Parts: sequence; C-alpha cells; structure tokens
Amino acid sequence: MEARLHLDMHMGMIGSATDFTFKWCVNMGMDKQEAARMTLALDEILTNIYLFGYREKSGEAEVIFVYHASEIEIIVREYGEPFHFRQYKYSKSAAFSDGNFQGAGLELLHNLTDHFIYLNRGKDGKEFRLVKTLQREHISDIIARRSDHTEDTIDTETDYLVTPVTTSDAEDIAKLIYKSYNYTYNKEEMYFPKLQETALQQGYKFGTIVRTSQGGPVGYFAVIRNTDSLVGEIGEAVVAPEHRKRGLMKRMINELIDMSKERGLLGLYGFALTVHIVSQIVNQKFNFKNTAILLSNLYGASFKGFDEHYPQPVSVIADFLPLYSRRTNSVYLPGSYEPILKEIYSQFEASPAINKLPENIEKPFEETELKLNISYSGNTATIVCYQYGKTFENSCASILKSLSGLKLNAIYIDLPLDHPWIDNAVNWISGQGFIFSGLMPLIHSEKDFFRMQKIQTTLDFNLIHTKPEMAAKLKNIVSKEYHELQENKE
Amino acid sequence: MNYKKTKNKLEVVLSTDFNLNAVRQIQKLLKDREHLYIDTSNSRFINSEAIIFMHRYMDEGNKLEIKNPPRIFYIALHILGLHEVWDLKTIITP
Repeated sequence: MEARLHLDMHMGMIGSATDFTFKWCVNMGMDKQEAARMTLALDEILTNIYLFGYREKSGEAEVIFVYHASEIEIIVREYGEPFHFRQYKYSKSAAFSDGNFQGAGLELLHNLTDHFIYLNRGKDGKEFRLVKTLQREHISDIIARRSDHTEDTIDTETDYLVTPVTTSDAEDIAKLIYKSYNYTYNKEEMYFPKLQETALQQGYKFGTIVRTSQGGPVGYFAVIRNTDSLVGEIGEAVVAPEHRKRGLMKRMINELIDMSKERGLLGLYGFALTVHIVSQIVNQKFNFKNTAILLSNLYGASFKGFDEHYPQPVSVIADFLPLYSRRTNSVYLPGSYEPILKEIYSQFEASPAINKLPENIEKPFEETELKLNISYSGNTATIVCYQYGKTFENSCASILKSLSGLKLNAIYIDLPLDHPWIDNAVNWISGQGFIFSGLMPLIHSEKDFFRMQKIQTTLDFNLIHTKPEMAAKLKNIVSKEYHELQENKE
Repeated sequence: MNYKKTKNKLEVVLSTDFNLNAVRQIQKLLKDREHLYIDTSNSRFINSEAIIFMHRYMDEGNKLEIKNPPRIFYIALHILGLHEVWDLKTIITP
C-alpha cells in the first residue's frame, strides 16, 4: 500500500508534506511520538534537499510512503545537485567550539529511524529511504499481563466453524501462533496483535480463522495482497497442534481460494522454505507449482525443529497457483533459458502464447522504468524493470553501484517477458554476476517476469533441501551457475 | 504564527512545527532584539535548523525562552549533545 506526493520544492511545501506524513504514520498504526520522530526525519531530508540539493531554487521531489506489515518506509527521490552526504559528519566539538553544525540533520536522521539509506542512482536521481519498525506489545507480554490461565486449557473439540478474519480476531491469531510455534514462527509481526489489526484494517491482507463451537481459535490462514499486481501470497498459516490432521488446512485454503477469486486475484504465491521440505509438500498438495528458487532470501530467522541456528540465509522456492482459466497475453523467452521456462509453463493448464524471438531487437522505449524494493528484515533487494529503455544498462549499473555499500545477502532483478529485448537484458544482467532464479507469473502489473539473482553470501547447497521434481531441477541449475561464477571469481 | 514585539523582546506563538519556514519568519521579525520567547505548544517537532538557530542566538549573548516544547525536542538535543551546554532550567518555561 503506497501513497505518493509530488512536491514543488519550496520552503512552504515542506510543512504540507510533514503534515501529511504525521497523519499517514498515525493512520498506519504508529503512536504520536513515533509518528513525530518519522515526521522530523522526513523534514530533515526535505530541508536538506531544499537548502543544498536545489540551493533554495525551484526543483521537484517525490515522496513515497510504503506500509509493510511491521514497518513504515518513506522514500524520497530528487534530482538536485549531487550531495555527498557521507562527507558531512556531525562533530559535537566543532558545534560547541566553532558553531559548525555541519551534518546535524543527518545525525538526527540516523538516530530517529531504524534504517536510513542513501542511494545515488546517477542520472536517475538520488534516493533517501527512511524506515521505522512499528513498536507494539508482544503477545507473550499481553498473556503475562492478563495472567489468563484459561488460555492454557486445551480445547479438543472437533466441531469447527470457519469464518473470515476480522480486526477483532487479531489477538486470538497472535496467541495461536505463540502457542503453536513459541518463538519459532518466521514472521515476527505475527506476535504483535496491533500490527495484525492495522494490516487487516488497511486491507493489506485477508484470511480465514477456524474456531471450535466454544469459540476457541484453532486455525488461521491468510493471504497477503501484492500491491503491485492482482496476486497474493499465502504467507501465514497455523493449526493448533492438537487439531492437526483433521483437514483444517484444506478447509482454510479452499476458503482462501474462494475469497481470493471474489477479490479478483489472478493467482496465489506460496514461498516454501528449503530448510526442510514440509512447506514444499504442503504447497504441492494444494496444486501450487514450482516456478523459481530464491537463494539467500530470509535472514536471521529461527525455524521450528531447528535448535541450532541455521548457518546461512534461508533460500525459498516460489510456488504459484493460478486462479485463472485462460491467458490472453503472450511472452518472449530469453534464448539461454527457453527450455526450462517452457517446462515451468507446461506445469499449468493455461499458459501465455510463446512468441519467437526476432533477429534484430531494438529497445522499445526512450525511458527505462526501474523500481527498487528493499527487504530490511531479509537483507535483500529486488530491482523491478517495468520497461526497457535506452538507459537500461546505465540505470541498472547505477542502482547496483548504489547498493554495493549495503552488504545485502542477495539482489534479485525482475525482467518483463512481454518484449523480445528480454534476451539482451538477460545477457547483460548475466554479465553483472547474476544467475538464474526462475519465472514469476503475474508478479508485477499482471505480467510475467523472469527473475535473476545475485548472491552475495557463501552458500552450501547441501543445506538447501528440495522435494518436488521441478524444485530439484531449479536447484540444480542455480547450483551449477553459482559454482561456475565462484570458480570464475577465483 | 502570532507574535508580539517590544523594543528588546520578540514573543512568538508558533501555529505549527518549528521548522525552516518558522526560523526564517522569526529571523525577519527578530532583528537585533536580545530576548526571544517562543511558544511551541502547537509544534510536533523542532528541527535541526531551528535548534541551530536558537543555539547561535544564545551564543551571541541573547536570552531565549521556549514554552512547552514537544518531547522529541529533548531527544534531538541529546542526539546532538546540546543537552550538555544548554541551560534548560532557564530556557524552558512552563
């Protein structure tokens, strides 16, 4: 869920932008003190842009407000004078003795936010990213505070009621997750009922909850909506241990598929862990098909069944379940990956028509359209190319250069398959240290994209477990390319 | 922004945040007055430009009073280390 402001950068406009920011942050679930911190951080950025980027003359800036389940991200883009902000380090002694306050605004920015990132994208401008984690009460504290011992009673009833989730279910869901997984569920935000409430209120997700006739919650399954396309992700699922193997998961997923269709979604993604094969088998059982493997995708999470820390970032399999019966569009496939992409498509009953690549291909557009999404919890970034333009290579190179200081585990790039220039794009991206990842059907703007990945961690592929045949095939391809790249580096 | 001027004192009641725009307006009104009183009851924050302006004003030997600053002002002062040099007992007024 995004909001955007396009600002003519003059002094009076900064106040209007911060007024909006404060209200937006409060509406997204921040308390007023947290919202004031985020608002001050944005004010510092805009003031710096006005004073130093545009030297108090006219210019433009774009502010993008992004809501994530557990954090708020504000992205500011501008095209003013190059601004080497790392040079401006605040010094207390210089401030006290000489009245030199250079870098004071940036010092505040670093301290008021949980992440502050500056990206110089060359001709595509500069980008500032402010991120603040939403602070809420953890479910374990809520349970302890209430000393609610009745919660410990195990309800073993077998008469169930499956209903859509509402905001009033948020606390029950958090309790269910806590009791079923203790601290091992890999989505931290699930332990904070207030975050759940806001996410449901804002339409960020929808789901289904199973209760016994006594009202006790025993199952929950939700779809997180993609804000960029009419697809969703089945990202949160739990059944209380004493109610497992009673078909609840199946009832919930069937309910979710109906709810997704009612909301006009064209497909559902499921990202299955490779720490073990359980989630891969579950997805396969519900007819999801493997389309890609995302290496080093999750970071620092603990997983049920693993007492020791998993020694590397966790890779996941992207599984897709189409909710459409036919495809009317067509795609071009990059020559080097045509056979595997055709095989991935062949798993689905309805696939887009595959066009033949022409001999000579020109870039179709003047402007290149790229978007950068950073996952702060996963320590990864995804570059989405919506449009191949004349500056494709330069724009990608600028983003990659600006990301080099962030020490990310992985960088993914999504390339649209709706134009034959995909072949050239893949060749160029391969030259930048990217390897195969797979197909991401309908992932952006209701179109199919080819995903590639650049892995910046050392991986032991023996720790990446795959069960379905296609997942194993995808793993073999990435493993081969990953090791070839490592050998070439040496 | 409402204000009242006397020969030596400028009293300002900010209608919103104490930001660059407010600093510029105060500077225009202040001229060489030696006493500045700012009511920040309606401010959600006081930014670094405002803090720097106030620090320099006091550094020149002038008197500053701030009424009812937002909580984040103290956090910002602490981040910049100015809590060590500002005499908050005389600056902050109830």
